[in-house]
Amino acid sequence: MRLKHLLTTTLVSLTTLTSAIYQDAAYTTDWHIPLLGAPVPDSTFFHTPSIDSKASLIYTLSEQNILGAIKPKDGSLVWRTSLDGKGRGVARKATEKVITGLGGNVEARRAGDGRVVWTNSFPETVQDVRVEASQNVLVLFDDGKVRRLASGSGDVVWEWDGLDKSDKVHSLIDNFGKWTVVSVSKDHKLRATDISSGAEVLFSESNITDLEQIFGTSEDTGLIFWMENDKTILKNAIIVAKESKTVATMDPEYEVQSVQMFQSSATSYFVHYQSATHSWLESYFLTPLGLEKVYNTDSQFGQSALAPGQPPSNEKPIPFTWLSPFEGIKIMAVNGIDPLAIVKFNFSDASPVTGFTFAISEVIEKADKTFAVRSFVTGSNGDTHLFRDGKLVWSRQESLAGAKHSAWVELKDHKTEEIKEEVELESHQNFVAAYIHRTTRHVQELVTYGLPWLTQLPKRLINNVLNGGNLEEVVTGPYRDFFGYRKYLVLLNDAHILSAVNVGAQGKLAWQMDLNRGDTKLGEVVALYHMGNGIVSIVDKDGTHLKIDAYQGRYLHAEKLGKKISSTTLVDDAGTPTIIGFTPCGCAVIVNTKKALSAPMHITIRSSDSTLTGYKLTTNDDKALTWSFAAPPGQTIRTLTPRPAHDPTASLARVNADRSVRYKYLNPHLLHITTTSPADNTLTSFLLDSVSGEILATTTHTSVDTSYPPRALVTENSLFYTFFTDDRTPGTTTKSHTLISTDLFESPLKNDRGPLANAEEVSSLDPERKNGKPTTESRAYILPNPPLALGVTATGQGITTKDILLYLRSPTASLLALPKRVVSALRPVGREPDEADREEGLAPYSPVLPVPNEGVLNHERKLVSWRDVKVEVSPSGLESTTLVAVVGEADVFGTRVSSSGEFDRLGKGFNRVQLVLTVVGLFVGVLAIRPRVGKGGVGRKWRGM
Amino acid sequence: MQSGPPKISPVASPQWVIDLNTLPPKRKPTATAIPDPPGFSSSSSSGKKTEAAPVASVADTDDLFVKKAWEIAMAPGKSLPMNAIMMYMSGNSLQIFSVMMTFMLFMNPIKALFSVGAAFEKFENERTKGRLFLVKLTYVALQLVTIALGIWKVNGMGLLPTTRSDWLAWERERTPLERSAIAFNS
Repeated sequence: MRLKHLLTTTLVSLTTLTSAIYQDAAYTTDWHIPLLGAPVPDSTFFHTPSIDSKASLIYTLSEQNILGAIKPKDGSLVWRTSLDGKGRGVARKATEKVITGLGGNVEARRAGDGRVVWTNSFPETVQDVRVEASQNVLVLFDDGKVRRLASGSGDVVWEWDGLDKSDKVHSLIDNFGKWTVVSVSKDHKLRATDISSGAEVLFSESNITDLEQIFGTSEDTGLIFWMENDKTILKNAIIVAKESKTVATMDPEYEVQSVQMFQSSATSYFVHYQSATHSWLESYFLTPLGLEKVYNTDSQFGQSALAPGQPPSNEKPIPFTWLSPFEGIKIMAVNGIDPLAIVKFNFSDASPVTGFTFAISEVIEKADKTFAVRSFVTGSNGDTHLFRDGKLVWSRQESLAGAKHSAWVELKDHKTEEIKEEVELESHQNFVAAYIHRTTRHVQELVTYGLPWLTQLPKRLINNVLNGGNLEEVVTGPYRDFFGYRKYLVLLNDAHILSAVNVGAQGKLAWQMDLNRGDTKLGEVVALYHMGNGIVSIVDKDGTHLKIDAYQGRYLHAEKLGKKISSTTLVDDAGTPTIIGFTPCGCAVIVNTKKALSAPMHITIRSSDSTLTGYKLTTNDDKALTWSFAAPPGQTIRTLTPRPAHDPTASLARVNADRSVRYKYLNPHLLHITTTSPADNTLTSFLLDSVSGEILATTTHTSVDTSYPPRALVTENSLFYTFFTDDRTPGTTTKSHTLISTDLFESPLKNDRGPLANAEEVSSLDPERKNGKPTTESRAYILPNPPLALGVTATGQGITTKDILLYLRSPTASLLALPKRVVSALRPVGREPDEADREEGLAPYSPVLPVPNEGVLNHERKLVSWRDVKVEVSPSGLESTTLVAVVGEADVFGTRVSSSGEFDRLGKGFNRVQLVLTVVGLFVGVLAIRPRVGKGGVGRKWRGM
Repeated sequence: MQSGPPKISPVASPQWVIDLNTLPPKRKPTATAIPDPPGFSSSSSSGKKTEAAPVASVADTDDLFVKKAWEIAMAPGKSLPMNAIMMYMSGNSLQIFSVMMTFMLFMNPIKALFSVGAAFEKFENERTKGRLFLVKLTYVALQLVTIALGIWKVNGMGLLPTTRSDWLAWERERTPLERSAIAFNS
């Protein structure tokens, strides 16, 4: 044991030496895909960052509310930021600024670097933002208020509150210089209200139920477009004329999904239609009698997008680009009644674009009357692309952003894959036949692979010696590599885009599926699980169960369960991965196997915001209520954390410096809950046994700001949770993000294994085999930045010491790995650390955690992901190494963590040449010395010595 | 010193035999010669020896043998304090010197224990056999004490599996009789 300690201390000191990150070690094993998310159409534009600059940038606010500026040249990000607030934001361009509105916040940022110029917050929610020619900002709120904010400071200049309070607010339009609020009245009629005079006009005969039916409000001309009658009649109205006219009537069979309207010149309009399968374009001319259709294209298969160019500086019509998969990019303009296609660019390669959802274009008419066009296109999966004159310049994988569900997929092993069937055959044969089969198989293998292996040997040797033995060979296809670094991380976002990134190849996209295009429509997804053998299962709220081949990205099976599913769990039932789903009424459904369980299973479900229910699911699918947990009155459950699915325990106890042990409290049914009470600012941590429902431990923390979401993590016998402390006691004002670290032990005594002692079985229900409650040790630490997600490294056997992974939000987020002993619950407090503490590597307790530079896994990379962040871990093929990935609203980041150093792998610094030279030198030396030694021996014998 | 078995004159003695037989006469100290240094009494010692040897009885020889044997038997006891100090000084860390010293501490007594008979062979005859038993027992006991010292040292170095942590690997996690799962999707 002493030896072990000595080795540990040596290893620990070595790791501190080796874990220092050198410049050449960073950015090799880690990878980062900086993302924005799918752009929001009316908040995406070309804009020059300053008046002097000629080059413009692409500004976009994404579905994930991330605002960013992209360089059109190469698609790199100039700056980006995640906006605070919920809901859908709007972004508008202003001179040298970008104005954003999200939730109740209106912000002006410098277009060049994204720094906030001014910000103003309101209790209402921002509905629309317009920038006046004078650069003042008009903001429309959801309750119909309009506020004008000063361009320089963001202060409110005036406020208008003249809208009928029962109206649903849509947008703010410029009606020949008069700002008009467009809304839908209580009886579902379209209403336009002039904010300067308060004059109202009501339109529409049939009802508008959905704000999305109003789609076009034209600036400058006071035109409104909307659809009625289940999207079959397109209507428009000129507000001044106070009457509405039917523009077009569509066949309901078309199933028009979206219509876009653009003004092309003073009297001309383009209307773009997108049905489920086709798209087409119509052009209208404004006559005193109304709109007259002058031109239309043939409807063509696939999605297309129409994008306006720059507003005309003179009387010229606005050039439009129409992008469609078959026609390429057409630049069109309508002047009066003459529609004309000016220029046409064919796509050189449009294959990465899955469907043109929308586009923005920048059209430049050169002096020689030729055109140059840059189009920023969003595909149906959310990816963005830039085409210059029809040529694809770059693409951004925005479809990876906003991953709500993720799963690791183990890849196939080359070696076992080939002989899989043969081995299967052998297992079914009798002993002798299997032996003969196996021997012949080995002989065949020797014949087939022996010679090539031998001939490859010198090459491999030379490669190993000279190239530093780069064993991370290039593996393609769904196969694992030698060290098990290659795995797929399957991501599913809210737009139902299922993607697999190859973690072993710097996050390269392996495949992608648009689940909206499948035959089975998917609702809100409840869970995504890897079922083993490369099969991924997706369950949605409507009871749809999809099985997908995670190696290739293909549908395997789709079924409707016929029941709504509110929650699911993946259990291992006698070797078969089984998904158990629960309907909203609490009935259990075996989703994938349809077979009853082989043994009873205790399942905990969340029955409401403050209650949990434990059920016993028996083998014949009966369900019995076993326990229920209700949070104390006024408290709601905030986190619910069981032990991770992969949580191996290498040692049953913690070994002290004097070689005594403290047995860990290892309960597979451990369930940690935090509840908060906003009324008295407390957070309570409960530890439950999820079989019996017994409360094992509770702790209550006071002075907690409950608006900040707590996070929790359980691993082996340790639990960690965070909350925001806001102590307002006079004189002791404290604000800190607190991390509580707790270790659970069987007994307060050394060498004591609790009441069950050496019993081999433990039961939560049988009083004779029931374990006692854990003894807890706790320490509180202060985190440097707000935590957004917690994680812990997981290795194959659990032998390697663990690192706690903290995803912290700072100006930009960072992923911090802290050794578990740094956040240990046993650090000596109130006394000087003695010899034993030092031997155990325990530093004296100090509440403020250090942030070692080598612990920042993202190095200098800027991670932007502040909502729904998850730290996903998976063991690699090496015991020392854990694969770590961070997924969230935007970025995908991946790295490998070796918390005790790469002890089972030769490092980069290992000098193979020196090793070979030493061995060869020794061999030569022995050969040279040998005859002399032999001669000397004979001589000695002769002399009788 | 000429006493011994009767000599058989060799046919032709080698030179060394002749040399040995015809040793130069012993220097006779005379009063006129150079005086002996103070404290030196050649006459008494040589005289005693020359006189005692012929009168030594069998019993005396046996006594002498036993006395000598006791000396040998007590030898490990005499080196015990020195060994103990050395072991104490070398520290409990695992280094080449302390490991080697501890190893020697075990090697020597074990070797000695295996050759108890040989160690006392020259003193053993029919008469001394019974008396030597106690001597041998003491010898063995002292060697065991030396081994005990070694064990104490090894224990101090933490190499004895005497604590709970040494047997931890043989303990197993308890098998839970129930299975549980949490159906909760964040």
